[in-house]
Amino acid sequence: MPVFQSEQEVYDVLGRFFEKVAETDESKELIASTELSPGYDAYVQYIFHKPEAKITWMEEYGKLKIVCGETELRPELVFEQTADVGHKFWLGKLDLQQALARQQIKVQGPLVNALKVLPQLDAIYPAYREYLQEIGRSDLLP
Amino acid sequence: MAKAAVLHRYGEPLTIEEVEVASPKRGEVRVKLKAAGLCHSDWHVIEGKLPLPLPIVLGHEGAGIVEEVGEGVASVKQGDHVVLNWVPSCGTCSYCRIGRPDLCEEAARLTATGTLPDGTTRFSLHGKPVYQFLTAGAFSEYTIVPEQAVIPIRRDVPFELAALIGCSVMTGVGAVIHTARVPPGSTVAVVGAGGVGFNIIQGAALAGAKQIIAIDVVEEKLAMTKTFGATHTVNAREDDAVSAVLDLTDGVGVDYAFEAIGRPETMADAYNMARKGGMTVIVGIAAPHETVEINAFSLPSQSKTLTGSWLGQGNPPVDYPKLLDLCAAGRLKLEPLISAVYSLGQINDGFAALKSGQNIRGIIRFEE
Repeated sequence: MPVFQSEQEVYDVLGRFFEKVAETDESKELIASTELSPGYDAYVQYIFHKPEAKITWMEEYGKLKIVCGETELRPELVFEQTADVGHKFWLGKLDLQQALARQQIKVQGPLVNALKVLPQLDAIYPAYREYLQEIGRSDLLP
Repeated sequence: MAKAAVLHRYGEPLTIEEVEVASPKRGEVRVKLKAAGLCHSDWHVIEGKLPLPLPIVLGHEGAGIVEEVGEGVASVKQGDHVVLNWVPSCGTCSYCRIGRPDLCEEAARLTATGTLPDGTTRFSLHGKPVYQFLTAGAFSEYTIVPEQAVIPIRRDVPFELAALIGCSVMTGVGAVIHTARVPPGSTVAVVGAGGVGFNIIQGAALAGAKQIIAIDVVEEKLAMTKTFGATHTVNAREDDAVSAVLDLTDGVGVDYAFEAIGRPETMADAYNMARKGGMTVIVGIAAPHETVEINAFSLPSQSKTLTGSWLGQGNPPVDYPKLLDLCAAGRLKLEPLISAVYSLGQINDGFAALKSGQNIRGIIRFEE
């Protein structure tokens, strides 16, 4: 049984969580220090399967903006995974290197950019757990 | 003359026709078919995924009775019950000499020619040759095959069950016993619960695997795998197969993963669900042009063994009788594998059922 039952639920949970992350000082600093390569207008896109969903991170007025659903944006980095795997990742329950080796997560683009911010994610994992409790979705906690 | 199911054009139904069947030449055997299984490999030919000369009589998983033997035939005689062996190894090529008859060069050549070893076929229609799939051409009341393509068997096993030995049982059980050599206490995952997948499952149970995870998209089949030895099931339509297997193995993955579908995606899944240092055995047959994508970094860092298994790496003259003994002793379940029995005239219905995934194995029973 998949964790998320619909595309909308992915946006309501993960999408809203990403919006929360976008408000943090860390992400604002990250935006300030990251420059997109020519030809791209978004940082990261998460392509989810089971259910199918798409979440894209772009920059708008110096801040991170979260775009849920289909978009014309051209992301520099694309992560493709099932929504279950995405959920597990943000819970901190997934070893990225192992997940890449097993193709649970497929990447297109400069993975090195993502690896740079990996250490900062340690602070975000607990935030996702707390957020799930906040929104009354502790049923999604392992 | 014999009634046979003939494929004239790729993608079209088989037609039942009276074909001429020539007499066996030196070293050849005429077999009266009693039963023949419908296998995905036959379907691949119908779809045009395995290009072969047409028209052709398909069918390779067959059992019957020897009707006539050509000059020089010593291993069988008239009246013997036999199972067809679609890898009639030559015994003299380098692979046969190193004890790998499954990889015989001559047998491999014949898979692509649709002929007997001399380059001709014994079937004809209106004076033109009709080819025979894997030397067998089992969807015919009678066939002529090389002596190496018939394995004499005990008489007390029904032909419908004996036929299964000739492909799905040998392929599935052999992949476990010969290719992977699964030791007792192992963890195993099987991707695909079809005729071959079920036999991998029961092969793993026979080998003493402690955990056998069956993966498919048809709930009824998954439920049935439990009676063949599966300890856990995963419906890949609902759950991600790799994640589910990792969850069931404390994040480690399985010692042995088998793929029995023949799709690049499921082959990659089978590779990805094996533990570090584990083994993945590809049994399913994909179309010749397809490629599998796996993570390059994982090759050295996870040090898995990725291999294949053709006819279960079997040696039919030795293995078929053993498998039938296990069947007679109740150690191998074959009867439940037969989902439906068809007459030759209903063969296209059988393939429709195979295509939809509703059958584990459909069998043609030839009329007396």
